Amino acid sequence: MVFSSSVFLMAFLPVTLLIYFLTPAKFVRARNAVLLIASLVFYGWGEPKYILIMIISIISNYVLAILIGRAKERASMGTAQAYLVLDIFVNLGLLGFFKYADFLIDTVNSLFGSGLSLLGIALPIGISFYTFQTMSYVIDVYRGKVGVQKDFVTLACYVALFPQLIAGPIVRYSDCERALKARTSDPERVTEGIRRFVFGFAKKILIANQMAQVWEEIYGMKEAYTDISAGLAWMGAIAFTFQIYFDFSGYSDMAIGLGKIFGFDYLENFNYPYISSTITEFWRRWHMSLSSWFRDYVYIPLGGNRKGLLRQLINIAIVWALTGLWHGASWNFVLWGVYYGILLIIEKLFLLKVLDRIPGKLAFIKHVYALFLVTLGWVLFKITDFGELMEFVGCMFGKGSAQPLEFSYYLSSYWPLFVVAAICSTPVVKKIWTGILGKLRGGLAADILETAVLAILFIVSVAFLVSGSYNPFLYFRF
Amino acid sequence: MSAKDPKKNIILMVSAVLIIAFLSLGTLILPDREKSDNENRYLAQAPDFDIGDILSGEFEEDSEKYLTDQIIGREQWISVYSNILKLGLRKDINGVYLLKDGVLAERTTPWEFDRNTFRGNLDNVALLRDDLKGRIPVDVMLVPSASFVNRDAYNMSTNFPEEPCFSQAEDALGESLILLKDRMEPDMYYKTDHHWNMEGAMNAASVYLDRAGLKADLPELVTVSEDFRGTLYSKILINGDRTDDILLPAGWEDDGTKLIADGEEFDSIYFKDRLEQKDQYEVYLGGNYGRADIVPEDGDGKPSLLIVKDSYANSFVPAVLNDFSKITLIDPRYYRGSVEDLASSEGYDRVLVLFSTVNFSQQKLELTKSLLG
Repeated sequence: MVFSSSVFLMAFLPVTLLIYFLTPAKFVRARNAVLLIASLVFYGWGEPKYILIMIISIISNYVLAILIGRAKERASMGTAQAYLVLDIFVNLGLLGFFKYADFLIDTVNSLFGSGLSLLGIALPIGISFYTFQTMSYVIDVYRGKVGVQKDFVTLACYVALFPQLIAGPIVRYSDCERALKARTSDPERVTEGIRRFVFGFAKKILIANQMAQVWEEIYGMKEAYTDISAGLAWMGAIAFTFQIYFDFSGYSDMAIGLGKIFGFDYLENFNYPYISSTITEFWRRWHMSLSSWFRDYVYIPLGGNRKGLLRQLINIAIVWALTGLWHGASWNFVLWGVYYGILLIIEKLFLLKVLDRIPGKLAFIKHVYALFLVTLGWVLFKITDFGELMEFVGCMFGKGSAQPLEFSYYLSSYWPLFVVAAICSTPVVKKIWTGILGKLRGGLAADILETAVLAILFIVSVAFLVSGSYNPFLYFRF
Repeated sequence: MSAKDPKKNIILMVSAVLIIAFLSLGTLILPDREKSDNENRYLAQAPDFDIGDILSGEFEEDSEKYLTDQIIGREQWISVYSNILKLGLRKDINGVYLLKDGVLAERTTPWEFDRNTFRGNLDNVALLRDDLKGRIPVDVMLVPSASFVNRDAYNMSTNFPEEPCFSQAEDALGESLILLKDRMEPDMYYKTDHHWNMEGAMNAASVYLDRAGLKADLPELVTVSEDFRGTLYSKILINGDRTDDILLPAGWEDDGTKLIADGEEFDSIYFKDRLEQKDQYEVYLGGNYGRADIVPEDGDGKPSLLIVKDSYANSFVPAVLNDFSKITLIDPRYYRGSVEDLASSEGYDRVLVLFSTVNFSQQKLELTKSLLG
């Protein structure tokens, strides 16, 4: 199920909230059980068979964490380590089988001309997210950062918790260990949760879905005419750049908001990535739960920057190839990861210093530099077929000539959407909004104004939801 | 309102509960509607709770369709959506161009306009013409879309996928093509519907009769409805005060024409009751049929005509009625036989292939073969 569906808004959410809040707050385990059952319904909605894979994953991580805990109590680190290796093997095995088996077979076939048949496995939704979550739990148990969770329902609730289950953020067990034991949905949290949910919902429906339409139309144009003008190609690429940000960060906002309503405080996942002036900065602001996961569980264990520059560069390369691959079982994602690996290495080696010397007055150059590369990166990310990718990039750099009329049409029809998206990619709206509410000194007037604005945003979003058949979530494949 | 410093807002919480409750309870309590006139389709109904369907995912899909179709105030939501986009200066919504003064025109995108199908259909029409050569003359009229005809009047800075297709059609069909491209005017189309209006049909009729060497005997027209809101309006549900007139030939109420549509016989080709419904365009012939035979009262001595057509021909028939003894309409969407066999065996004097360019690019026509087993 997705948040931006009628079933979620009109049936699942009200029923879940009702049952959850009718369960007294002091019975945390009962509330966890309610959330677990709701999450299984949410997850199984549409494709119930994948619940089984998730439950297998939860059981194996549950058992292995207990075994690691016991081995550590006996101070038998070797055994604990063996269990950890087994756990990582199981997790990556599940992920590898369901996500990468066909990709591997396909690659082997094209390399060696072999005729191995594909398994045709459909990717279980959210497996990349919950696998990383459970791994963080077991690794942290091994590292002694968190205690062993002996209550199965509580651990299952953590893994399956529907707000973040299918599209992140990747919530670490260490970040919600305490909330799983005791939490309150105080009015402040619920208020904040509603805010975040409505903003996220509006970002997804009012901006991301509209941008998706621009991208699809422009790409359709390219298919129909074989080439398009550079202006149109860039407009398409920029539309997708906005789409993926508002889609994904909107989803994270909704997840964080729902988490708050249920009493969980998730960490932020995005911090205005498009105001970055370097690629290094971009990756500190984009999908932060994933980057920090790779930092803490791959980069640092590999030695990070502590074993000399060469080793550091190799570590960066490994992390980015894996980051690329995490996003999808296709070579273009590896290419996309390697692209960022190389850019980050170049920045690390010398470019950051050069960029630092650009005077403040010319700071816009840095933003243009970063956004140009990010936009190009999203094109690599979006177009999975290499031949088509090259054709599209070719159009962006002036290979195509046709259809200048289309560009002016799309510009005249969509410029307000692009302006709104650009403004909403910066902290400006939030600043103005906080300023207005501050002026009202948080009194009744502020409350009424805020309610009115959020209600309008929500109602308009529902109107778009009901009207547009166009409603695909991007982060489903991962 | 940063995460560190959240402030409670009781009004917001209460409103959130009320809005969600309004949506879900309102939808639950309100009786389900069976049909949406505006969309001209049946709405999804509550799915049956069935384990097999749940496991296959069908139940889940159906419940989403059901709730989206039956949500309280469905048409108001769509109207809010269209109005917001219009405020945001969007020039097209749901496949409809918003022109000046509330005028609407159907939008056809390059990927919806299938040039391969268009090409294939030209070949099939050419085949039909060649097979009937020397016996029955075949003419072809392709009606340009309203948005194409409107492109200058509304300064539309966009390409139209049908534009290159007219010369393609000329190449393939030569003399058989009656080119309407430069002979249609913006006001020859409905402002709220994707069809041409009676004026457009009359214009095409006079062009056709001229080509056929017949003396145009076009009827006088009277207005029978002033409140037609067509398919384009239905797609976006805005500009509700913009309506179209429906015109019919004077004396339409007792014209004495016989219509035999898919075996059923009628005393008139005009269906007055359709003026009371949403889709008033159905006043012409009452809709589309696989085969419809039309016999005017005093047609003796006039030629007979076979029209292979889409719905544009429905309002074309009244305009040419006075010139023929018999008109047969074949809609290839529903007719499975061979048009060529029909034309030969029943001995028509003329054949006309009449389609909108858009439809001509979207459905494959088989004219010289029977699709019956």
